[in-house]
Amino acid sequence: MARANRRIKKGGAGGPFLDSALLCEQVICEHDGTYSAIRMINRITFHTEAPATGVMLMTPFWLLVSFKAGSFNGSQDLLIAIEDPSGRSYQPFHSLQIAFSGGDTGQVALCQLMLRYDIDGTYWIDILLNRKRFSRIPISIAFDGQTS
Amino acid sequence: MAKKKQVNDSPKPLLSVAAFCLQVLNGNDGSFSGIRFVDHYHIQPPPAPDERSLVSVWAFIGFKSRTFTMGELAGDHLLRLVLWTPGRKKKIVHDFRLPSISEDVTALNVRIKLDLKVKTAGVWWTNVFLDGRLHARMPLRIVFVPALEPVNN
Repeated sequence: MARANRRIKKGGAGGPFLDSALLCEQVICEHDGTYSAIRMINRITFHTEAPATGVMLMTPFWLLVSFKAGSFNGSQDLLIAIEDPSGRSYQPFHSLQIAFSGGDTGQVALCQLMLRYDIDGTYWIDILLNRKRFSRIPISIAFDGQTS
Repeated sequence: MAKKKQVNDSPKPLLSVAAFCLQVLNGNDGSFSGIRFVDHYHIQPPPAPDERSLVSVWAFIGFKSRTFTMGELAGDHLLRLVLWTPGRKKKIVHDFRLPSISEDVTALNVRIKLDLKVKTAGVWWTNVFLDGRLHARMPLRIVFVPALEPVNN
């Protein structure tokens, strides 16, 4: 059934479609349902000593993921997973089922980014919907050991 | 003789954003901000049947390199936007030949001002192609709101 729904026709058919997959410093949600993503970033340097490996690191960034339904009706599993710089570990960060109602409707997921620190380098945030990768967001993290 | 298909070895970029905003800001340090992501646009209907209303939004489209390695996005790219009216007619095709990208760039953000002259309310879809590959479809529901009549006391 889902396969039939994904069939691409003219115009706005097919879907779901990625709308945004962003890391930013702030997200402002308005009363009318619109939102603003302030200062999209992809790297941060902490002026502190690096934490021990395995420590959960709360970053000051917000992860904003949104999809549009297109012609898809039904539920799909959204999985957000983080790959560490070494590429060895793959942490499931967030998993939820999201429902689509077709057309120009959509879903927005917003959460503060927290990850398990391994080493300095680029962490990859994978955005998967029903196991299909829609986007990858890089975030480069470094600790310079200088206390401010 | 069968034609040999050309193979592009560089990984395809991944979409990071394809949405309509009322404003897109580019900070001094290169960080972008999308102000008021919209999928609905309320506007007064055209004053006469043969006239059109102006819808003015920014299309904010961004891609990231798949592996974050140097040179992955390098070269020339063609961004194409195809609009579909609520009546499912192909309306406008915009082709944007992006400036040649250097080796050290790993992300590609584009903001495009769209001034649409519309006479039909409903959902307008914009298909986003990069180098011929469909990456996203962006909906914008245009709602005609009648102008308020002044009240005489």
